[in-house]
Amino acid sequence: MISSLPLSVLLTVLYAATGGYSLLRWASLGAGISGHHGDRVAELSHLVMSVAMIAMAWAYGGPAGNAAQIVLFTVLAGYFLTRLPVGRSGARLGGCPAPGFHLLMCLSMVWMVAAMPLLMGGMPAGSAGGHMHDMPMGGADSAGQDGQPPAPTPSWAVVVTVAMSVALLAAAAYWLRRAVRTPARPEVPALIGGGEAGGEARPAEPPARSPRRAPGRVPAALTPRRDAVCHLAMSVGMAAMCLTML
Amino acid sequence: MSDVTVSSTTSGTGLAPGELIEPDDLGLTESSMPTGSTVRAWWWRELRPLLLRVHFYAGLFVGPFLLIAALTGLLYTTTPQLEQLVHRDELHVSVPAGAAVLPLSAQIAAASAALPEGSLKEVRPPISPDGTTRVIFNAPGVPEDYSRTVFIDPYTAQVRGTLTTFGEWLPLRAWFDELHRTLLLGNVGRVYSELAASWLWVLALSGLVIWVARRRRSRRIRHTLVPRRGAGGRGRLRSWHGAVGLWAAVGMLFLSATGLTWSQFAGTNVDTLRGALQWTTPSVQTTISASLPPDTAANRAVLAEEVLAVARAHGLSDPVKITPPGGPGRAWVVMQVKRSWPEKQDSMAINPATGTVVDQLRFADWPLAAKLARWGVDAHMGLLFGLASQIALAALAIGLICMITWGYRMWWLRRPTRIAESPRAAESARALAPPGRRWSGLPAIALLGAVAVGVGLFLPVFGASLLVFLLIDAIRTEFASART
Repeated sequence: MISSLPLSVLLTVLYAATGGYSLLRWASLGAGISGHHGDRVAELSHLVMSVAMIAMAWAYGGPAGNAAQIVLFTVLAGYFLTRLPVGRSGARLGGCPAPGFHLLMCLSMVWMVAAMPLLMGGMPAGSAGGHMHDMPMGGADSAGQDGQPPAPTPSWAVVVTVAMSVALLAAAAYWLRRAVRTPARPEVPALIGGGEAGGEARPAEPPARSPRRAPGRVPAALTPRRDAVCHLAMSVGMAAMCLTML
Repeated sequence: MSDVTVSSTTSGTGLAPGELIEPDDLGLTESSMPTGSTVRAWWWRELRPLLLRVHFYAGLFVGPFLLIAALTGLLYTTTPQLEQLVHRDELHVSVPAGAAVLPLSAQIAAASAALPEGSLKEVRPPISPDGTTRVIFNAPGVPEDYSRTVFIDPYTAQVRGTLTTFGEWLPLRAWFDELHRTLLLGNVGRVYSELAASWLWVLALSGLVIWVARRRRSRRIRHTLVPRRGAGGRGRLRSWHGAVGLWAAVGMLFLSATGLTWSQFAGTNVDTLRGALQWTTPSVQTTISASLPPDTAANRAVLAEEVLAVARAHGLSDPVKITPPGGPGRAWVVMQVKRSWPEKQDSMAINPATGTVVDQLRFADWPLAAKLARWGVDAHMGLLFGLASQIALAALAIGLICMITWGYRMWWLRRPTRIAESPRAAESARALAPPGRRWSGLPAIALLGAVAVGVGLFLPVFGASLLVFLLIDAIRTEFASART
């Protein structure tokens, strides 16, 4: 659990917002809203990541939950790996936007869940009676159980965590750039879940995505800019979580 | 009932690929069929296709687990009678004419002599004149949560038998209990029953709403409450499925809720919630300051008899169990163990050194939530109303088995391969929601999605299984889209 309450609250608010946005994006794809295309797997992964990060911030869950997360995000990483060759052309047809970024996010999740005991002073996952309620995070209180000094964190684990954080921050910079350069309102109803070249005008309807409905007020709020901001927020939040583990 | 020709404007009804479409599937009635439209609230228009989809897919994939739970549950309902038959030698004695019951201490001493390696855990005096006294021991070599029980003839102190028991359950009932809960697979097997319990309420509620709302529009209450006569084929199956489901819905919701309280993951959350709301089952305070007599087997036998006498003198009636102290400075506890209506669950903590009652807790004083939990557990196990409970649970299990079977039969009758045999069915399937495309309206999907996230966190097996399903569906859709 993150020892800093304000940071926990901040991350909770952040991930509640990204989770809610992802839920709406996923629902818009399921509803076949006109002009909305993207990758349902990516939206689901956003939603699950957001929920998992909130749970991680409050140490909700246990060993079984951790194992399930590792399996889940490994499978998702495998999926995004298969999407990599499709790349830009796939995104243009409504496929996964930025599969490389999503791959990075999934691997970061796997790393954080798997390496947490290593980074948190050598305590095994779920050592606190099957839950991690007593597992501190955030550096303020990193003593081991029973007052014992924490086991030293292996340097390679620190290096990997820092590398992950840097990569996530680089991704955040990329999404920030896209958020700034993308018009607040797309000129054509086509760009939600856009591909690598966000902001470009692309055909509104991918060939295999009919029938569609005209967007309402909520769907209209799901703009490419907000999409980029959502990715930005998730990147920053995940990098922050990575760094608090050190 | 004839099938309906579906126009493309009806897309989004949410039926699964390959389903043959019939008027009821579309929410149409015979009276409304000519125009093919009915006036419905927007929320229901949006929600219904999604509920249909949830009910169909959840039923399809969770059906086997529910079927196993219903079958093993049905077997479990017969165990009280089977137990009396199989273990009659241990449970019953012939009452000699004019004979008196021996002191409880003598009976416990006889049991201890029969099982010298055991340490006394509990004593249950007989509940009828021809019953045996159960002396329960912790003993080496028995599985976790199990004990060794020595059955003593209260008139002769002879040992009638020694069995490995699970709580108060004898081996036969314990085996069926384990089968129902875990399929004899231990903690891994508990996931199956949690999966079934996690989805049963979803299926019951979604089915109930779909069935009642549709039939209410058609204003034919009788066809809602009882299966339709004269209907044929899939219509007849659906009529039976819906009508039986309607009557069984309350029972299914009850079984789901009480089953989840026992489950591995959701059960932990339920316990946490109950603790936070102070709904936990209360217990008597056993801490005492006085020093107790030396703790030997012979001494315990005598003390058990003494504390029972004190408890009875203070109005605690049979059936009871007597529990030795859990450690130094603790009192003995005598607790009523009647789990049928009206329940007797009063308990007393007694200081054996002074013969005084340290604390007393009456069932009437339990918080309402704790009482409801007690009644719920006992009703789920068929104990609350005796034979009537057993019959009701057996009927519920049979109903569930039938509904699952009818459900699969309906699916089989409209299976995807039939599309090739029926051009009209193929047209209907294409016109209705193609797989992975439009499910329903955004508000309905987002609302159900948000509810699923919240419920999924509280019921982890439900959340995880739903997520797996959605991911498989999404991945399949994305790969299919990439191919096209």
